[in-house]
Amino acid sequence: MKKIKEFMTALKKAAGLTGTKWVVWEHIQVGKSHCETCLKLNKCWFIEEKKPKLPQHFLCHCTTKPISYTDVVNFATSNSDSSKFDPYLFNRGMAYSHNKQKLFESWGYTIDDADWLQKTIEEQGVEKYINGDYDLGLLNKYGQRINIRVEIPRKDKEGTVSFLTGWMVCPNGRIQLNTPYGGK
Amino acid sequence: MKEMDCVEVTVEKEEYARYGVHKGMQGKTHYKASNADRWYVRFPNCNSKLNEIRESIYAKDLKLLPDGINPKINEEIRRKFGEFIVGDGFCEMDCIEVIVEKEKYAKEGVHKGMQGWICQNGYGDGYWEVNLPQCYDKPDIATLAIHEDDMIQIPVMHAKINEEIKKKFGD
Repeated sequence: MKKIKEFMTALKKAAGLTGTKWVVWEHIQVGKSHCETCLKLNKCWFIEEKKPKLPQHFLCHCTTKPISYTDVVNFATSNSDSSKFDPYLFNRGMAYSHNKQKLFESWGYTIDDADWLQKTIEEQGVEKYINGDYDLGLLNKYGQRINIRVEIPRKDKEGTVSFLTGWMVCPNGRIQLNTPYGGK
Repeated sequence: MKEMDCVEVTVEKEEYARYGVHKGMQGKTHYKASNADRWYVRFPNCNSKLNEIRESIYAKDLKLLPDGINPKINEEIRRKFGEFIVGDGFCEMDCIEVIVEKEKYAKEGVHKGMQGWICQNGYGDGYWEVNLPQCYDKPDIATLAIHEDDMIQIPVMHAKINEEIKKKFGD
């Protein structure tokens, strides 16, 4: 029964029939000046329930327009820089004294897993973003940050661990990894 | 095309240029994107893994380079477009220390003396996206934009210092 439900949910998602509505932020210039925050949100994609406050400010003319779930599934992408895993996360060269590498080592991961982690976090990041499984973070003229919880298997024993990753929302369905470990 | 192929971008497109990728830049394919005919390509700079660009590019916009890549070309092209290159000042992954106490940072829990790392390229107006972590599994203090005049580069960052300062401010 559970499998049937999961299958139907996946089918509905594929057909764009889920309750989750996606919108694209549209910055509309009316006066002579631009709001830098609104400009940064232009063309960014959010689910209706988790979009930045609208209107953003007094006399804000921004609006949101619906975007099809199919487009979100097809065109949303995630991106991260390998240096956020090696050297940062695994602290190669000991320049980043945060002990997060010990956390990952306690789960059985080493610096050799940096590429795998990068790929897995990117894949889960975009998948969860597409599912609307994100929380809004700080918004300012440099953009909207979001937090996404990812889950990875433990390598030292059975089970999984989950933690927050920090991303920046960019135009046209792209999210860019800010930090690979933002807290448990 | 396969992983680790040497490639060159054959077109100038706004969707690539937005992320610092221009016609003529050379890189190596990293892996194929799952939802389109695109490849994640690494565009390195000279002598450094830092500040490299990694961007998904349509396969049709790439050509194979049988003789390998020359990262110097990437730097030249990026400079031509007025973009920031490693060695030109702060760069991504640099360790920094906040040297001022300002309300705009304080309201995010960031105070003078806190240390972090630059997690995004500069925004072009002097501001850099900085992450200030705490130790081990504790949540980050903040990820926010800090002006280059408000921080200095340091060789090593210590998250423990952030925890001590946070405690002092009772945040």
